[in-house]
Amino acid sequence: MASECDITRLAEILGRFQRDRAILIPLLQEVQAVCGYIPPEAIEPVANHAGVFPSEVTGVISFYAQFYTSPRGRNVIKVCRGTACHVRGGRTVLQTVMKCTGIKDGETSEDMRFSLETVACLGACALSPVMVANGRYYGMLNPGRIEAILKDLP
Amino acid sequence: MDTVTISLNGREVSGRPGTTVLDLSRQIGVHIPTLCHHPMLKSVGACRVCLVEEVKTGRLLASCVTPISEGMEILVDSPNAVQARRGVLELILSDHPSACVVCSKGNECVLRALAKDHGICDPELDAVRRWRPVEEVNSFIVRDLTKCVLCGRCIRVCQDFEAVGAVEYTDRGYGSHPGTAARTPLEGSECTFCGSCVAICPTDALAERDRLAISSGKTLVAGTCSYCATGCHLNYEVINGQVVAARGVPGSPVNDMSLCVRGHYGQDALSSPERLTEPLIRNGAGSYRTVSWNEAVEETTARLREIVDRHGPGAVGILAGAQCSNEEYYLTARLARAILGTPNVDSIARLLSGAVSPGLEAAFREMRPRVSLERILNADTIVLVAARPDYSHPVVARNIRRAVRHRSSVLIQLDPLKTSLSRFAKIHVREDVERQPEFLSRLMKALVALRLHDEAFVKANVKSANDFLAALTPRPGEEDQPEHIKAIARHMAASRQTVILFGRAVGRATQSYILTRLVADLALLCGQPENLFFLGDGTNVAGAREMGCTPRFFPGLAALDNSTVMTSLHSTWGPRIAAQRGLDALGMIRVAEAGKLKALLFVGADPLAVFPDTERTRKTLLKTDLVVRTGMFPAVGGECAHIVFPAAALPESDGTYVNIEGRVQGMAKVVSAPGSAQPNARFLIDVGGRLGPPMGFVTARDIFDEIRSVLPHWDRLTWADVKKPGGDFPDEPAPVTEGSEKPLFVPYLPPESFPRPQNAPEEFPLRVFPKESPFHPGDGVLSARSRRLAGFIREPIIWMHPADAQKMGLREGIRVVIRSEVGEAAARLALDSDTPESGVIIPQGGPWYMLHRLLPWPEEYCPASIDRLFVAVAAVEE
Ligand code: SF4
Ligand code: SF4
Ligand code: SF4
Ligand code: FES
Ligand code: FES
Repeated sequence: MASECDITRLAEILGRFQRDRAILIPLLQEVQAVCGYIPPEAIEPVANHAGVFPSEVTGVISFYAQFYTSPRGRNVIKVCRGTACHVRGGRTVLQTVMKCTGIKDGETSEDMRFSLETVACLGACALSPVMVANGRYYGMLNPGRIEAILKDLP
Repeated sequence: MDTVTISLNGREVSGRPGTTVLDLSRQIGVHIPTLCHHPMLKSVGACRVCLVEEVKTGRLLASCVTPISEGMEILVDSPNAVQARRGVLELILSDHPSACVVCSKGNECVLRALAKDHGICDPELDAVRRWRPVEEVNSFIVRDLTKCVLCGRCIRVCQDFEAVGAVEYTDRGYGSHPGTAARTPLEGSECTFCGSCVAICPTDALAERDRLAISSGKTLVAGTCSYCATGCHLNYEVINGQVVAARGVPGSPVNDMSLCVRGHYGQDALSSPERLTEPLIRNGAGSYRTVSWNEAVEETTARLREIVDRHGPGAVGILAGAQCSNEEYYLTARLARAILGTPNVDSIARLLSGAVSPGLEAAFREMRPRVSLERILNADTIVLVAARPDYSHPVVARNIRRAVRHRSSVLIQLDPLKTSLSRFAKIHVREDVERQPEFLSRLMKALVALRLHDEAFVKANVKSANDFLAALTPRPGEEDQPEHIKAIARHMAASRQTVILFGRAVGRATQSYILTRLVADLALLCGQPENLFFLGDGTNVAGAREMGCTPRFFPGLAALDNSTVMTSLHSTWGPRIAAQRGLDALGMIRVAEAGKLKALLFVGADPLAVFPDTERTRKTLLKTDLVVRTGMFPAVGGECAHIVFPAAALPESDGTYVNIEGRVQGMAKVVSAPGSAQPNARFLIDVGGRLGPPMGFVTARDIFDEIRSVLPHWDRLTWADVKKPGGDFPDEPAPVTEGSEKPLFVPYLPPESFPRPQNAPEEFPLRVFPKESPFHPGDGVLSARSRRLAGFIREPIIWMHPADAQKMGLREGIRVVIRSEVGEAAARLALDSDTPESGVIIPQGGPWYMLHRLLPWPEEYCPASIDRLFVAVAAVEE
């Protein structure tokens, strides 16, 4: 399953990075790219590799919204809550996504199919209301389209 | 440009480039309020409380992080600056609970002082409350992060100063807080509970748990910590004649500002309700009656006299503990050899560190390193041979962590177990203590084979250097040493300063003598014998040896047949001096068992807390004619003495102590001892003065002066100097043995093969790996009475490898009984795959004394042979 992180691959990832604190963020990104999130067991080895304290790694992970500490679904949906989207029905978008997936902001569905996040502005205000699914932008949304889009996702 | 000149409040002032506006203004006595700044930490400019105005640009600058620049015009209290600072403070206070009245920081709270100075009472801002639950889980520190102002002092002190890194800013925005790696309370992190963050937190967000009293009306009295031989300097906080807390002092020579968990939180033991306050004498039936000090002294001397008359002075033995002052050890030696006339005098150092002293004497002819622990901070390579400073001498471990973190020093660890320092180690060789001699010998061979040793030093300073080197040179056809050993050799050779620390496990090994000699040889081979530290147990064991509280030497490590010393001693000690070699601690208990030693005096030593084989020791003591002891607490394992004197604690008496660096540090009485308790010196003077002519000492200083007259190399010490923070170093003593013009170090020629490690016998299949606790150093007698130190772990736990447990049908968390040849002990079982297989980790020392019950009395020179202890573990019905 996609959510299972193979910790044995960590050694291989670490091997590709220099032992230096400057690589901490790229290294974490790589761990997340491979594992889908940053498993707690990775914190200590990453800290040792980068020559920082484990608490510093947690500090970095918790500071940046891009890092996750629990497995995410196969499909990551980001719904825009920015001003432009808001005035054009952003709330309905969020409600529809919540209804279709059965999860709230920040959650992952039990079958690991969906993770849902909200974002301040996706930078595509002209297309508002906007959401991003697996990195792909969908604009000018209405409930019908949203249902169709979500249904198509694996 | 050498200096930069600015205008500060209208005055022209100059400072070195790089000086901050804050530092410069403090130098000239201009006050700027600060919150996140602390002189011992790197400034980060987190709080903006220190804003000042630069008049030319009108900019507000955080003075703690702004370096001065030529021509700056700073106004500290311009209306703009004052208003901005008030604003900053109001913002900080707006989400701070206004519960100052019940706050444990009291008048020490920096935030409260700032609010008062700025006339802010209740900020009229709408607060965004960010309540966090109070974490009151461990017995040392309460974290109430609702009161946190995010100054980051705790984070900086933990990362940079202690180099532990247990906390870091975690989460962002309103959720931001100092958090741990696993987002747990402190006990789920690497935290050592050193308390440095509590001492430095400007608010009550971090507070000391169960303080005896809150801070108002306290006096600060300087002293040293009594828990270990690091000898940290500290201030005792005294309220109403009671020590309520202890604080490190920035800039003090040994420990700078740091104290460890014992120093910060263990001082509550002094006011334990369990303290002995009156002398006791055993009635026929085994009960005790309270008597006056004089009556106890009369009884002691009368019975001693009777025994000496009937059996001769050799039937008496005196054993001092590991926490006495130099003056007390000296008096013990004098009482034994010159007044009673017995050579049987020793300290429990013999039990704690085995053949380490004889080993070092043989190699170096004297033992004390005269070097400061700062060496560790500047070492390129640090080698730990069975040393666990993180548990035995935590402030030494701080230096090691800092060297690794800030200088990228290389740490090499030789230890069968994983310890808290393992994550700082570049190479961790998990070799059993029994196999360590072979390892050390291989390492030396690798150094010589790769020609990485300091040949010039060895040739100039080591006796029979050629034989020594020849013994280490690989023979033709001899196999190469393994790669990891060669790697260690290269690290050691590439380093200008290599510090070697060896620890108590060396002292307690069967091959204690061989191991000590090999460690010494290693230091010689690197040309750095001075960079060798022994991290043994006890607060002042170095002092015990130096004062002659040993059966092998006169004071000053003078040989017993040294006629010059004898003559000078006669003039101070009188005509009759027992000059033969006496029984050591183990010898005394053995001879007592055989019925030939009739009286045993324990000065500040609790016999069942120091001797192995509890049952055999108890039986021996109970059948000995006279057992007298002084102590602060009821005896561990039941009272076996006929007469008990209540003793004062270290901070309750005057005295001097020798720390692991060889510093002599003096401490003046901080508080009075409870009830009739008296310093051990009083006991020795009273008993000695009644058995012989009065000794004429009134104060500790009188004894100190006599020591100076007896020990030539102590002559330069003055009472005033040793009482300063950090004390003073005595001169190098004359070599123990006389001989060549220049003392040469004596190497040990490594034997071709070392004794084979022993296999576990069938009925006791598990090898014991002792592990000390940072909370219970030494004999554990004092720490067991600290509510906080004893409260952290409340029951004994042993660890096994899950595979072994499974084989034996044992489950995690069950109660088990551990059996050895001589005894048994109970504990709870924990499983950890880091435990060596076929092994069991058992806590060493107090407060459970499990190993004491399991260990047999050892043979010659192997004080406890812990490395050859085998046990069986079985489940018990609950
Ligand atoms: S806990 Fe104390 S020292 Fe740490 S950031 Fe908060 S207020 Fe500052
Ligand atoms: S008690 Fe010491 S180790 Fe623990 S968080 Fe505070 S400074 Fe760090
Ligand atoms: S390291 Fe030793 S002397 Fe220093 S505070 Fe800790 S117990 Fe006391
Ligand atoms: S507000 Fe939704 S994309 Fe900008
Ligand atoms: S004291 Fe200068 S910013 Fe906090």
